[in-house]
Amino acid sequence: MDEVELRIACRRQDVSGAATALECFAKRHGASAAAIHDLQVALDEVLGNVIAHGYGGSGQGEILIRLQRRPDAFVVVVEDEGIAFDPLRAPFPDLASPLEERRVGGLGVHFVRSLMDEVSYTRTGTKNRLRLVKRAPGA
Amino acid sequence: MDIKETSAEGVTILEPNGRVDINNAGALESRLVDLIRAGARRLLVDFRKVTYISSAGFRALLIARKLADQTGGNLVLCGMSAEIKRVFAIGAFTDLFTICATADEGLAKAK
Repeated sequence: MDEVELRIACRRQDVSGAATALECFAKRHGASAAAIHDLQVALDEVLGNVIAHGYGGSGQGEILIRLQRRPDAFVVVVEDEGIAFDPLRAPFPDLASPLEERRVGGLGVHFVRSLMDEVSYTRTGTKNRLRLVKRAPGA
Repeated sequence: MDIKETSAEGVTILEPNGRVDINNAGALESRLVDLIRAGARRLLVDFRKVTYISSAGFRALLIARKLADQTGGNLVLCGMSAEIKRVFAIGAFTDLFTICATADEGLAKAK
């Protein structure tokens, strides 16, 4: 199993570095264009949630991102030491309202659940840990 | 992400290049809103150079679409990859927007 770890500051402008690192890692390990796309969207959603909620929107704090290539899947683990927050408890998004009433709340988590094969959250000590799995046959 | 802006046949065409994500969706939203408030009534967003769009980008598009609707404007999208189209479908956004395959079709719908 190949693994890469990176840390970014808890700020929007630092998300690009993580997105590029994920893209490079996934490409290097034979991910399809669709899998790379799905992983990048999911990571963006997860990081967006941590930035918005994890440290009170303060921009302080760090986010640890672990990228793993397993024989049959890519695994992305996002860890932060912000307040306890389980993004998977977000309400199901509004997918039916007409334009005037449509909102985007919960849409990000809905994308994560739809694009990833497994998603799980754990709180261990002071850490939030979100684990995303995208099945991808080995090269 | 830079946004190329051109116009043709009375339609303002925006072509974002790269990721429409948590970091730069705001720039797309601002540009669309500014254009609409300045009187633009026919807008086309061409996705051909967009690698992906996340929920932050959807929020930007929704805000622009609602404003365009309120002002009697027309906001059309085109040029999406199969992956982006799939995300539009997952978010049930396909029915909220006029989505065309090509820029020519988009231009025709936006006029």
